[in-house]
Amino acid sequence: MTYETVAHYAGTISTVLFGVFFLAVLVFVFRPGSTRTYEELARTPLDDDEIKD
Amino acid sequence: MGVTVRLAQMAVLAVLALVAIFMWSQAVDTAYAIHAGIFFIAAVLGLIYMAKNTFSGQAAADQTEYMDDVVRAGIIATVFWGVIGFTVGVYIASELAFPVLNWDFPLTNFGRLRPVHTSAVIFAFGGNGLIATSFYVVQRTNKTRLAFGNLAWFVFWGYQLFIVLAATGYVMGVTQGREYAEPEWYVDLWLTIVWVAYFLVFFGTLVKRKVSHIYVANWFYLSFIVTIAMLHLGNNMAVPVSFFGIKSYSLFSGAPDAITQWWYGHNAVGFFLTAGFLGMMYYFVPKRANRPVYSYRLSIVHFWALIFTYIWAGPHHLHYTALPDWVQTLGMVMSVILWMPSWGGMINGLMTLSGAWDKLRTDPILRMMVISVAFYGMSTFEGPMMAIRSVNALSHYTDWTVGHVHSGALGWVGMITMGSVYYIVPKLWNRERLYSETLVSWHFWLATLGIVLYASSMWVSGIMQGLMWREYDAQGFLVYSFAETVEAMHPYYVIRALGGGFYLVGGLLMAFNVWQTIKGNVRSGEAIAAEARA
Amino acid sequence: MGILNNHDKVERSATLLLILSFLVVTVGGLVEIAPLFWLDNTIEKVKGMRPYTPLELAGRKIYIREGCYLCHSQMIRPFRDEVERYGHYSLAAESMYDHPFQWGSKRTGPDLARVGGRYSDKWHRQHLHDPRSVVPESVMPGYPFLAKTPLDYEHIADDMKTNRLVGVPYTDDMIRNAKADVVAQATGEDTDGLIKRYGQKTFGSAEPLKARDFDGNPEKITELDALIAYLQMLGTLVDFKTFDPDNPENMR
Repeated sequence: MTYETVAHYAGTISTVLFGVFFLAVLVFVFRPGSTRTYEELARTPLDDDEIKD
Repeated sequence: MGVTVRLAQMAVLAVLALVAIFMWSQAVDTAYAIHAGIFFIAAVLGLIYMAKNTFSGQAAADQTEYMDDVVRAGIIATVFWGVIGFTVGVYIASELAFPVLNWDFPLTNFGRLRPVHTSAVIFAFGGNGLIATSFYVVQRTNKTRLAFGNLAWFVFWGYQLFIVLAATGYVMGVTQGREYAEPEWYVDLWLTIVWVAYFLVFFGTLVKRKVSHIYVANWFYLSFIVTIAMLHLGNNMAVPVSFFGIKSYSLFSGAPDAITQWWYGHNAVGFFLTAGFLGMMYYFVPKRANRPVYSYRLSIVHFWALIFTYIWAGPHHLHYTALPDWVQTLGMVMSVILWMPSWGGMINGLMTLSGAWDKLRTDPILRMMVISVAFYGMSTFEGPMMAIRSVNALSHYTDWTVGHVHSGALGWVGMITMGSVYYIVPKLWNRERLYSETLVSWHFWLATLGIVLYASSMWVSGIMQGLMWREYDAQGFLVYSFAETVEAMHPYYVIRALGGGFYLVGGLLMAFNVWQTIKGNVRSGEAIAAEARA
Repeated sequence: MGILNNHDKVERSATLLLILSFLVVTVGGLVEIAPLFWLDNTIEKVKGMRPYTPLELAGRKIYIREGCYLCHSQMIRPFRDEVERYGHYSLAAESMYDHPFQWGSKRTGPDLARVGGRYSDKWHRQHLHDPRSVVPESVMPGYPFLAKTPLDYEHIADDMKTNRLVGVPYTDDMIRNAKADVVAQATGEDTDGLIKRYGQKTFGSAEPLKARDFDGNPEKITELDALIAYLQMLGTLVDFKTFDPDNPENMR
């Protein structure tokens, strides 16, 4: 493994990795049916004075 | 809680006390002996306290309520260490403006006090704020009491002990010589134990939650806890010279050591000073504004993109050094990408106020939270810019970096913490309102003015010094000697100390306000004014 | 879309969230740090590097103890102005025995990577005693206590053993003679053994080993002796006549 290969692969792999990961997250959050769950979750801090234990 | 459990816990403390005596008896240097002494005193105090509670037949804690006493202690500690950290900061800033203040004395010189300042504000003020609010938020968003009973108390007191050991060590010259990771090997080991306990309490509470989904604020807190554990272990790999002495030598050397340190250093910013406080933002801003999170979807994208990208950004602290070029380039690219998730988070925080913007006029606490998010946006724009190699060539080694850190630390971390403290104190002590919201307003303006003075003076001095260093005359000679550039810094160092002073006065107002609120006082006239407004 | 419907498991399983976020935060560190430990190019091939003498090592401990690294860098960047001001840009090889590295991040004072031999011992003594008596604009603290504090080198051999454990090539001979070498270097007397162990001929260093009464006080060996000995050797080891920046082996 020489300097050039490491330099090349480190850059390429990490960029691709980031792109794929980012797209996966996007696909995930826009999955069908997520809207309602997320709207409810967004209200979590507003309704929390009672313990359920 | 069962008496047997209590006795077992007391036995552990007794063993710790014996270990401390053994360490003291074998110590090869004075600082180590003093630290063993502090350790012993802490263990004995804990033992006495527990014995008193166990044998006085104190009623067991009510399991159907949130465990808030440890949060209360954490908030008091946050305010206390905040004032200490700001004070030391103003003092060392004054040392740079007026070097006579070093007194040419070991305990008071800049080199020893600077880690006291950085650790006091980051780990003592920020850390206590994070631990306390994470315990508060994780219970409420999961509708359950903290896991593992009194372990939360061990986390609290163990963490205070870590702070005391670190700070007393610095003034005695006990340091690893790694920025923001100065505590020596045995203090690092102690922090590791405390941190594992912290993880157990937090994670255990998530596991036993009474709601189906884990709210996103907890994701940020969790990644902060886990990543800090990883960074702490990775960056503090060292071999002690003796198990009974302070000194250790790092496992790595030179370039690999440098990248390890800045992998740690930058992610102390990314995960301690950012992810953790974003957890705070995602709970307290919606709560105070009484509005749902603007976009929960965005908060998830924000989370994954932020934690993925931050970890790569460290090499921008080492541009043009002897670190291999490809690592520098990678660090630069990722630092610039980091701008996007950061601003995603900022937008999410600010837009949570949509429909409630009018509250900014009447609510100084919400104002404090909002300006903190604005400062977050500003520093996360400035940071990626400074990570570009050609900009960094000018900014590195100068005060510009110092100014950048402080606009993030004073503006974002400080303001979001203090805003949350103002929100949480009346809740925790069952008061209808703060002692005084007028004082919060004063605090807001003093702190903002302080940050403006601080950041702008450091921009000017940093860029000016960077330019003076590289200034050539027509004959091709360097124009300025190093000493001349130092002389040119003087007025800006005075302004910086002044800005820090304003920030400190704001902190003192907060301490007074919190203390009065806890006592149950309301500043005369304010209750009526508040009612009239409502 | 069955998989997608199940996907909010991440948001419902604390363990899964923990594992995923941990994996995500490890990637960057692995790609950037791990290769440095086995890539040959990280550290250049040069002549002249040697381990610190016991006195210099003791001086370096004081440098770290007083937090000098918070205001002084030891890393010269490859810019015209820095090279003219401080000397040849720093190589990774020059800090290969530094546990920990002391590159620094701030220049409140000037870079010290090549301060060795730039000023006389007398200048350093005066400067460390009262910086503004030699540089009126300086904001550095004074360190008058260094000249008064006897150097504690009782256990310096243990420090060297620990350094050897983490990769510094101290020989048995060096460790055996640690205390004698401290005395020899701080007095400039009986230096034959010291020079044989650390000297210019042995390692091909650029400049000869410095052994003399650094603090100007022949009565005792002080912390000032050690710190000045350390400062006076900084940047004096690598022989740049043997360094070829264009050699692919030295590319980074």
